[in-house]
Amino acid sequence: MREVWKRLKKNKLALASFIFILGVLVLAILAPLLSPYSYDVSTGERLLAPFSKGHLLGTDFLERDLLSRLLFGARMSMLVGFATAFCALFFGTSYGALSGYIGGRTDNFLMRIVDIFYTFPSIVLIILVTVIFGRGMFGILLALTLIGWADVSRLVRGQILQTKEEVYVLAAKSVGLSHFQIVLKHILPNIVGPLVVTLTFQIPTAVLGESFLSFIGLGLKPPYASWGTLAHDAWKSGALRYVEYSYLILVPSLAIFSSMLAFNLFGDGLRDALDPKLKRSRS
Amino acid sequence: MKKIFRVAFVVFIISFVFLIFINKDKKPTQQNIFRFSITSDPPTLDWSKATDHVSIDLIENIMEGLVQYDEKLQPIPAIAQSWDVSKDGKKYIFYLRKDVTWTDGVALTAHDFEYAWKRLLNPETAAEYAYFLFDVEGAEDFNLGNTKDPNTVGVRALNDSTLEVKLRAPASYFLHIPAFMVTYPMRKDVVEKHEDHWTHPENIITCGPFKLKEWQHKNKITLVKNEKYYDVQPKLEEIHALVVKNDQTAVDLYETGKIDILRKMPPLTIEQYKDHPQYINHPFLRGYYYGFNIEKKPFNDVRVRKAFAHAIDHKVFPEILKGGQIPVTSWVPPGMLGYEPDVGLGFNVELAQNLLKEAGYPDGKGFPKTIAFFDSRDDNKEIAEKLQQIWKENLNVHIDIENQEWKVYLKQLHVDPPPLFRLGWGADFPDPDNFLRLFTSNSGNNNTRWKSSSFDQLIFKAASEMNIQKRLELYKKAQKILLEEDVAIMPLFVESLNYVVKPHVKGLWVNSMERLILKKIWIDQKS
Amino acid sequence: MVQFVIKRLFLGIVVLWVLITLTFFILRFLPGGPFDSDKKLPPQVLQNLQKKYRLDLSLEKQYFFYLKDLVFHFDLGPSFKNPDRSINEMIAVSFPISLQLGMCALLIAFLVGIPLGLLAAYHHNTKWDHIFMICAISGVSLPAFLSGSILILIFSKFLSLLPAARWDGLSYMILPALTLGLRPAAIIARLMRGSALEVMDSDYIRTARAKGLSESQVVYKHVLKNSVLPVLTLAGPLSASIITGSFIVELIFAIPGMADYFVDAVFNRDYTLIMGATIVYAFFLISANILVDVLYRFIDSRMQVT
Repeated sequence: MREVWKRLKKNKLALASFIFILGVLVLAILAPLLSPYSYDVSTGERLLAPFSKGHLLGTDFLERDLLSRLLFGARMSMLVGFATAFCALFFGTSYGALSGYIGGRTDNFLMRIVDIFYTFPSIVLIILVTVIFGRGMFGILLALTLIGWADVSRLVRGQILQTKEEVYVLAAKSVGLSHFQIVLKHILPNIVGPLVVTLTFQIPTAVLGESFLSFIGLGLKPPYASWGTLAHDAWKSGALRYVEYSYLILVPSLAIFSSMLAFNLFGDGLRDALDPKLKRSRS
Repeated sequence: MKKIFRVAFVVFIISFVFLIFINKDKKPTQQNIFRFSITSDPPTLDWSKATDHVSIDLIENIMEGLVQYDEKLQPIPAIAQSWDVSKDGKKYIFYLRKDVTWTDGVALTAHDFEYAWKRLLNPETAAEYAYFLFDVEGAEDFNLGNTKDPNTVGVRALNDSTLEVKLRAPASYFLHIPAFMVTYPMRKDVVEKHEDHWTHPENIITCGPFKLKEWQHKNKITLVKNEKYYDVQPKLEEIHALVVKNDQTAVDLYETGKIDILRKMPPLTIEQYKDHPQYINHPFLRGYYYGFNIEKKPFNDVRVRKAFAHAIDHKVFPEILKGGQIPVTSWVPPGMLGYEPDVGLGFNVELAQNLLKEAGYPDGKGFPKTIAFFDSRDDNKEIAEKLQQIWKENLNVHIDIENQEWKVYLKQLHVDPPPLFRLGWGADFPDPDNFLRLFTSNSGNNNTRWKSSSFDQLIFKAASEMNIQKRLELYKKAQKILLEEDVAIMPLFVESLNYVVKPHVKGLWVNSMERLILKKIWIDQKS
Repeated sequence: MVQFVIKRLFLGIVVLWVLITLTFFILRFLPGGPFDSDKKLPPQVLQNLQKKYRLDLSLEKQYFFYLKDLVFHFDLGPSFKNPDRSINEMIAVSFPISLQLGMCALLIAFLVGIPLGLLAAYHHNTKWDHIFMICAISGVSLPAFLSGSILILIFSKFLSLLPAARWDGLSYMILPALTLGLRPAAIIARLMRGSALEVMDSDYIRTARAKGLSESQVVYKHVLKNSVLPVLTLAGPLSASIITGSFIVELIFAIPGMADYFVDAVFNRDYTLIMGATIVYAFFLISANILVDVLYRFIDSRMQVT
């Protein structure tokens, strides 16, 4: 672990990204304390430009303070991102580990199910799930998880198939450890790196997925707002074309852009740091 | 490594130059072209089956019917040059012009109308708009399948130029019906020969000012002038209808000069064009309301319903939506006969609070958890959020809001209407009967569970009343019952049309039915 | 080899069948039907419509008829919302356009992604590495409706270089293909970088260097060649994500492709259209995957031989 951290520290970009992500998370968690207004109450001033008195980032169509909405939006976006990524990771890992470890016919059968998931157009899947389960957090999480888990399960299965035959696993088997113990203690720790990396990539995918849902009118239900819904609402009203209103779209877009970039760069850095093959890497 | 850079750079520059080169637009050879955008590929151009605006926009320009609308949306002669109405109001005889021909040169006759009407009603056609003709004697029974004999339907060509229509009951609004595209004539030989493919450009036979030349699905539809059109020749040579689903894209195309009119403007675009000379804002016969399910608590108490209605300051809606919407407390919209601006419950916070107190919820205390439903659309969302805010501020009542995808929402409304729900109604024809019949006891679209026999009687009486003054009295009374005594719904506003038109487009007629009639438009090439 | 292909084909058919069955029944569980609208139809009119489209039959019968038409006539049925046209006609017109757009996007993605990834790997852990990767990842960091709009704003509004929207020729393809290609380009760049790093770290590259080959020779001959193969196998799965990802792109660029069938048809409950689009999509995807697998095996076996 320390080794990894040391290598990560060398990668200034990944480190900066990591700090940025932490910052966003702190803002998201402390949103109720930090916001000057509530995210859903009108302040009586419509479409104020940024840096106006009392409204650092201005106000929106419904007279709400944009800074407060951005902070609460961070909360929602991060919630969607992390929750989906963890669900997908948990489900995908269990499924992939099971499939890969048991192997044989079961593996074959389980992987065909994954195939079916892959062949089903994800766009239809998302819409079906959100239409059936409504626009609550649950529907959105379920829809986004359903898209993410298949990738994870394939990855984990592949890794397990590789490590299964390694000497130390065979050794563990001969000592008489139970299957569960072998998977948990000997195989999973060896693939935790790729998993964490997957996690950092799943989060931005989920956040953008939620913005896609807002785009087709199936995003979070009002008055809650995520960065995706903020950006989409502004886009839909045509804010991008007019300089004086462009703040409505620039503020959430920049938030999305910088955090997605940070997640991806951190993920890349982490993968580099974790990859044992690159230990001797020229630097 | 540097070589890669150099190569990449050169490739980049070359492709850039190439881009500029291939983008040199060929100037259109013909200038007399009107280009507009449509929001989808027309689902059908078969006027028995069309139900949506895009199809109707196109059909209205390639076809014509017995009557058409004048600038006040009153029916005037088109293919029928005159008509007689019997004294009891139950029989109409239309006398057709004899000089009307189809695009293939065949003369148009009253039989073409008879065929089209019976086709619309034929259960095998499965036309959604079949109910439009249910006022015609025997029409409903034939459509229902109670009788297989089309001759029981009260429409008959007496000869090539005379059409007789018998109604089952007098209907004062009936002349609006033959102005609607589902009643336009149809060529039996063409439809039967090509079946489902008869609307394809190579098969379709029409009689309107333009004809269908090309239909590139989901991309572009081209109409050209119909040389055989019976009336004054249209001034345009060609019409291009471009399929552009997204409003933002349409703005881009308008601003880069690819279309001549913008008919759906995002709120901020309206704000930008507000003072522009080519900006047009016009009322549209589409009402927006919130209805109560009067069987559900707490809205089974009329005082609560009144309190909710009185708490609303209607003028906030155009401020939010920015589209020149007209705030109303009455239901029949402006621009239509029977508009009564004074009917309905106005903004009065004090009265609202007192009513709520009388109903047992002083200052909103003890008010049960209530959910207002609406369908997922951005403007609905903004309105719902605003109402939530209004009721919180004025009545201290918290209403949860919940949205559903459109079809799920409709299902819910039909099966188990929520206590408070959003809906709209667009006029099928510009007559108050169409707006008020909606809330009669047997109406399939009345989701309020509110039934009033006195209201029903007023509506039915007005339908058979030929004197306009007396009809208006009846409709006013009916609206008072609906909106003031029983408060089954709260009208919020009437929508409006927002257009920007390029200055070279002349003679555009903007009307409250949102019809885009292009036969009188011309392109002034000087401006 | 032949056995492998046959097995894959058979599996593909089974997957397709399961998919059809699942989709068919899930769709019918959605509340609301194709003929619900804000103007409720009189019951008899609704009945006439249901009869016409066989919706009055029991679900099993509908399923049976659907499958029968599909298998024996390749008939995907009538569309509930487009009475003039069959699903076959609709897809036949729109699918090639989506395919064209998708291929252009994929091409751009490879052309952008591979050099970026390779260069980043070459300059591993330097500022160039960071700059290239930031460039590549920028593409996945914004929702497509924003990146597309920004491209339109720059290239059509300010520079007047390219048409803002529609599908009328080569110049119309560039912006949408670019927007659509951003995401796969990032994925490709990242994979290429990883793959190249691994290769560069391997012994034979070191040997090659030791042999005194010039840097560019090392990069082109050895690194690129050996690291690009795993990236190429991505083409299959990527083409799938491109086709469904093109919904927003087709929408904001007004392209007459088929991506909106996946979305609007669900909202309209146009059952046959969703089924048709899904089947065509799955069929295309399965074939692409089989093709890539077979090619990969083929190349792989040849590499092992040499």
